[in-house]
Amino acid sequence: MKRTVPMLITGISGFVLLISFFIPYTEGWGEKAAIWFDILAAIAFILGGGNLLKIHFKKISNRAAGWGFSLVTVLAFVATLTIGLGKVGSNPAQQQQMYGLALAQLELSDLPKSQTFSVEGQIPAHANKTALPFMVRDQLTQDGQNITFRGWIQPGQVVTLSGFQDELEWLATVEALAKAAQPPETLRGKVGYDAENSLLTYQGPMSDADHAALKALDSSNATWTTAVESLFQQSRRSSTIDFSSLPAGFKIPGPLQDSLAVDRSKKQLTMTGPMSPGQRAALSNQFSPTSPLPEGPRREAFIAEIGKHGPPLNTSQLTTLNNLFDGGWSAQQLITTVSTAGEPKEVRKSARELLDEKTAAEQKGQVPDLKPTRTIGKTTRLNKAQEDLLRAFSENTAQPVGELVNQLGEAGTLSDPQISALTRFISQISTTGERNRTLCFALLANGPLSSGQRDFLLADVRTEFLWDRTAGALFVAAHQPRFPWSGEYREQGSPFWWLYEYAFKPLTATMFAMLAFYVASAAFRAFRAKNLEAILLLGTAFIILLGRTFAGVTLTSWLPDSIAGLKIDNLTVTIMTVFNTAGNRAIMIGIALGIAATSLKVLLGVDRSYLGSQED
Amino acid sequence: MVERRLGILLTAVVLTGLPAGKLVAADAPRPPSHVRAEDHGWDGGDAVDVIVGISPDDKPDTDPPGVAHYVVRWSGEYGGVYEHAETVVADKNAYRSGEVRLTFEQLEPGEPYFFRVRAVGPDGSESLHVETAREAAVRPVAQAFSGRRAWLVLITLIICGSVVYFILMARRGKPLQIRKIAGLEAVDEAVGRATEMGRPCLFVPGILDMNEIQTIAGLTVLSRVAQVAAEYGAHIEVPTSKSLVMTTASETVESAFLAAGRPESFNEDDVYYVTDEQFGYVAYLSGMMVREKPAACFYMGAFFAESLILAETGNSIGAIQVAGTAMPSQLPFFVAACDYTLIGEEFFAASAYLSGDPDQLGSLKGQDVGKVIVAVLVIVGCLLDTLNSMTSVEFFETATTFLRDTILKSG
Repeated sequence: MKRTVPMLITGISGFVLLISFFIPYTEGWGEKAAIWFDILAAIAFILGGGNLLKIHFKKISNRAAGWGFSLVTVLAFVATLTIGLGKVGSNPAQQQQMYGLALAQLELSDLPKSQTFSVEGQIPAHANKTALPFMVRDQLTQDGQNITFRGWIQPGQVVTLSGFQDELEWLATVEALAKAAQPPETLRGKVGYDAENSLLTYQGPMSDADHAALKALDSSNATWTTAVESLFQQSRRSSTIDFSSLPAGFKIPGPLQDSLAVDRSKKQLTMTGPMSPGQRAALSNQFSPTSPLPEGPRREAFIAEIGKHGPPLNTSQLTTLNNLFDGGWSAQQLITTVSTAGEPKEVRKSARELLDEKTAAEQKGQVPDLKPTRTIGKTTRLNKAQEDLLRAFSENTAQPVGELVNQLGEAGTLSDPQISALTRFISQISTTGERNRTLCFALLANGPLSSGQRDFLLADVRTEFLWDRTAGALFVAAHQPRFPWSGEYREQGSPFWWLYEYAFKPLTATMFAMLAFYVASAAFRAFRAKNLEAILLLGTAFIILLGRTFAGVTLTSWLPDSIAGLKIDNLTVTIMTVFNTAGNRAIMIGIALGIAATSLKVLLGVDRSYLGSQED
Repeated sequence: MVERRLGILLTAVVLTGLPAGKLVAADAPRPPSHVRAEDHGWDGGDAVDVIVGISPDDKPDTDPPGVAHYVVRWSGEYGGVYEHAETVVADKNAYRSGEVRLTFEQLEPGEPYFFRVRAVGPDGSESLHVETAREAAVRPVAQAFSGRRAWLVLITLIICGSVVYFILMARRGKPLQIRKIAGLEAVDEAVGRATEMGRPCLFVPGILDMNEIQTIAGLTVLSRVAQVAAEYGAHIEVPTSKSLVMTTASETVESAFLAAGRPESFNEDDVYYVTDEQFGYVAYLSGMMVREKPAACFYMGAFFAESLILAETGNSIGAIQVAGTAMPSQLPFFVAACDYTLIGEEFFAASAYLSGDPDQLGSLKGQDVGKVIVAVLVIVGCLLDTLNSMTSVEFFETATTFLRDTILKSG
């Protein structure tokens, strides 16, 4: 019995894997068998760890030869295990976080009953019985002729549901559901519910009105009220950090008007509630984009300014500088971008529109030939005054974008896509500090710079970096983490990473590096010309060795093309691709047949010696 | 021209059974003659074949061509949004048969698919479409057997069948000869030498887990080595780099000692786990070899870069070394540094050889049938390819392609 059971398991698993390779229907069985092996191997790893401790503890307790090494092994094992399992020093996994949101635990069943939405439609049944996607399974139900959704639908859920089936009727139903399953008007865009994680979420600091409105959704449910209270507290939580200095002309950016406070006397920034990545970027982005420096007096002045802080730039540095500035952005690029955005655009029609078109065509007895897109907008061209405004901006980039947009609107027509294009273009321009840093390293690659010149070029980016770090610190302080243990145990900078990078890797690399010396000693023994075969081996090895070196190639490069095949490098290729490949393939074929026969013997139980004996 | 446009319209009406939704450019080619879709046979239910009849305007060797290409669009519902699926150009086979055949893969099993095809002229103008009708939805269906692997299953059946056949022959008492394998003959000698010298034997079962056939083959050799060691009263150590291998090897050695009638000599601490890390394992083994100086070292299993480090360390301490692996890149290192090496199939034959069991010896004979098949395929392939390159006979080209792409790439 002791051997029959493992033999049966081996045989069954083997045959399952074999069958699943040939029969499509059973493909999943093979995957399951492989998963079971992994589970088994993971459990066996505990056995391995236990065995290791047992052997070494025994050695230590018996004071056997080399017990000191055993002690080091056990200590290293325990330390690595503790640090790794405890994920000491690792931050929570980024993909598990919900940045910018206050969170409160709430089960789906405790959501107010009033927040259940219905639309007419049927959940499609798939031929292969595909279940509803996990992220909507608890919230979506079929209720007679209606589809009911509990809670507020998230954008990700809409995408998932749309991908569940691509028939227009279903897509139109999802569109209707996405429109219906929304929070009350005043709370829209702020409150949300994540059914997968049973979390009630809120973006930004919660106002008293929102607080009251949320509570009023189901004032009779104590669990709901508690969750709302918790959410209110979380969204009003203050986080304060110190700063060394504010950027020149600092103004609280628009997205942070309600949640950020600056105490200039105490040099403190206070954030109410969590900070979203967008808010963080807005806070960080306090520095004007760089202005283009076209060839002319402004560029000359800049070069002279660099010259004031040290020796004049050499020719190569000047060429690099000119190339960099010539390759930067220009007013004309900005004008073209904004003009192009003024052209009409092709956008995808909604499923409802397409469905209506289809129905109309069918009612007329026509074959529907649907065009999935339609053109929106009309051509909006920039006028001369608007172009001049954009040119003026390129020379004075400190002008706020909002102000520029207003001026452009006053000077002529400016469509929404043009405003977006303008904003996007400006947001992608590097700051003066970033530009000067790039320039500094480019100049250093082409010649020397004095410390004064380096300081001059890097001064702005240092200020920008310090402020960005301040914004980052406030972002982290204001964040409400989820799953603190979800981080990567080998995260850069963590103790485990340190052990791995600075202790384990060098040690294993050392072992691997010893291979070079072993190859030399083995080659010395293998290539001794004792008989004809050894001489042939030596000759072949010599050609290969020589062919892989520059000297070998040079040695026979004079050979004419008619006998180019005799060049050492060509001979090397021939030996490797013809003789070596042929020999290798012969061995491989033998191995493949051996594997097939051995596997069959094991599966049929003919060979049981791996279980210790042929007897049961 | 008016007559031609009328003809186009009529064709579309006849083909689709419904009036066309729109008119087309005057220079547009005539639409494909037909389109039909069918399930792709002998697959996992994720592919369909679409057959497009070429347009009457599509003639070979015309300049400019009447039809530049065909655009195939598909939808999950009849009359829905047909998205672009494929662009295809008619080749010489298509002109010969009058049809272009396409296979769409990675589809959802059981779901309906509808296709529309248009011919596109050199100027980009599209013809009216032909389509698969509402009632002619094609649904990918899974078949019981994957046809792509038909040749593989045939070859597998022949090889496995011959292995089983010769095992049965051996059971009936048919005498079987097997050539001497020096590496396996040396097992007794190596263990005996270790016993005489009073030093241990070291057995390394490779660095892969129990799901690797080489590890299993290594353990079958361990069974024999442990039995000889038990009979001689030698000390055998088996450090492993995988926990599952440790538990299996422990069982193997214990049973071998039992079979040798020396169960009391088995020490469970002689089979132990070291580490999963390749070079950590090597470091331990090298240190252990230098300190304890085993007289016989066996390396049987899957090895990588550590092969030469181990074999050279063993060589430096003067141990008799026997290696066996099916890693072609490591074989030269073992050959250079070990006294005996089991190359590839010898390693897998070890169990049968050592046991002398007729059942297992029969399996070796079965392998020879496989070798004959391989030899025949090699000779036929070389001949066909040579004749194909020397002549312009289409048969040789077709046969070479069939052998290379259908038979040898089956699976």
